[in-house]
Amino acid sequence: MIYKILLALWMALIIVASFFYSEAAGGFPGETSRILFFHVPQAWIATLSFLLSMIGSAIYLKKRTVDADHFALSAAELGFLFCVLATVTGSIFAKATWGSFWNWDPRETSIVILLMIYGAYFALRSALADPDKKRLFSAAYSILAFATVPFLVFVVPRITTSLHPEDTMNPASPGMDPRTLKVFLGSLLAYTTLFVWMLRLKIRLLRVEDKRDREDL
Amino acid sequence: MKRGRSITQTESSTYLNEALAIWVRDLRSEFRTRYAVNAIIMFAVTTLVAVSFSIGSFRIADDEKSFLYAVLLWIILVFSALSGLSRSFVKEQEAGTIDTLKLSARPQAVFLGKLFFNLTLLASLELIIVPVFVLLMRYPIAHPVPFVANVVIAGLGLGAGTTIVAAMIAQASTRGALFSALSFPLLLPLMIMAIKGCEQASVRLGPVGWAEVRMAFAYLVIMVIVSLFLFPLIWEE
Amino acid sequence: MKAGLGFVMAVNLIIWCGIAFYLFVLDRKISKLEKDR
Repeated sequence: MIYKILLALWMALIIVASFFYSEAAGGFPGETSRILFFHVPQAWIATLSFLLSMIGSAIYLKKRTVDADHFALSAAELGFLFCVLATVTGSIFAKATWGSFWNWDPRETSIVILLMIYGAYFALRSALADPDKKRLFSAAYSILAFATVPFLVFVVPRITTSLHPEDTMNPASPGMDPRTLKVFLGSLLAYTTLFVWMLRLKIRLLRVEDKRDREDL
Repeated sequence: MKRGRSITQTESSTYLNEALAIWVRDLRSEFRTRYAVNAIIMFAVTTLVAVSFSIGSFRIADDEKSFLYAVLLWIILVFSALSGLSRSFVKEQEAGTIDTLKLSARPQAVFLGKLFFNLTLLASLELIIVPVFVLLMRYPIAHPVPFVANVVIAGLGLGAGTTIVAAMIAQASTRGALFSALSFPLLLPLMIMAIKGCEQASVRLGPVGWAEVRMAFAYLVIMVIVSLFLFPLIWEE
Repeated sequence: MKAGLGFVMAVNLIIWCGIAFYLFVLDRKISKLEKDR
């Protein structure tokens, strides 16, 4: 319980610090670089979540425990949420920096593909009524989707550089300025803790719903 | 008390035989009803006509054609495929023959048989549509061999990526849309590679497109292996 | 520019406070459900 209160205070602190403690990075118009304190951790959580969901799916395929499926589903839902956030913040940043909301540069493309994989996962889950089948098939799909990821890593940079020769988003190394680095790492910690909290909430909720459904029968 | 070898053939050849038997059976039933073939070819022809009609009269510079036409060709191929490839399992579901199928062959054999069937559909699709597209659009192909290799290998990849998905959605209610929604993210990397490969193969100078063929082949292999691993899990429930 | 910065920060803080509050309430609800059963 304590860590949740601490998190609330810490995140508030980070928000304030990101505007007043650190300097805006050069090379970016105005104060826009500040969005990276929020955008990068969100993208990081989105991919981490995808990984966790896939691991949960693999465990489910092996052990068939309902807990594994709860974990996979919760991670997928949160991953989707953070993916949307990352896409939106990235788009805002793109508009401010390069003038257009969407450019299909490698990172943008990858995050959209991740979004589509999540969407397909949820569509599959909602289309299957039988709970065992739902868990099994969505876990299998998760693995299948993961198998295509290595190809994306190789393929996406090749096509987008030939389509739109433009400055791809450099992960502006926050290692430049010590204050910026501190705030960035602090934000990363905050977002990760937030993610853990939300994940645990989601899993607890699924368990309670399960118990209630079983007792209703 | 069993001893020594059984009278029947060795494990691996029966395995393939089962797959071939399923393939032949599907081919025969498809030949009779022509359900999937019709869907696929109709879609392909319609899109092809639409594309040719709307773009045909524009004067596009040759160096821009290579990329644009690669994109259009693969959009036509991928979406035509998506309209018909789920048929292999959906028809079993509709006919109520899923259980018989489960009993008659081992899961991997079922998968391979269905895969072969889908690949046949795709081969027919490509055989018809690609030449027509090239002729109709006056597609300048500088290096035909890698171009054809790209089309063939990536076409096989299309089948590899979608067959197991077809099995997954056969029992769902919203099959058609769900099949496309599930397949598309999986096919995206392949599609990108295929487009790039065709583009390279139609450009006069520079790289010729073999790298993309290799990657498409890697995709094909990986998807078949992962599907062979996952299919028994979802088939026997 | 600095003036606008304060505004954006305030908006951010408000959004965060809303989120944190929502999460705390949710946490409480789930804990109650868990205890009941």
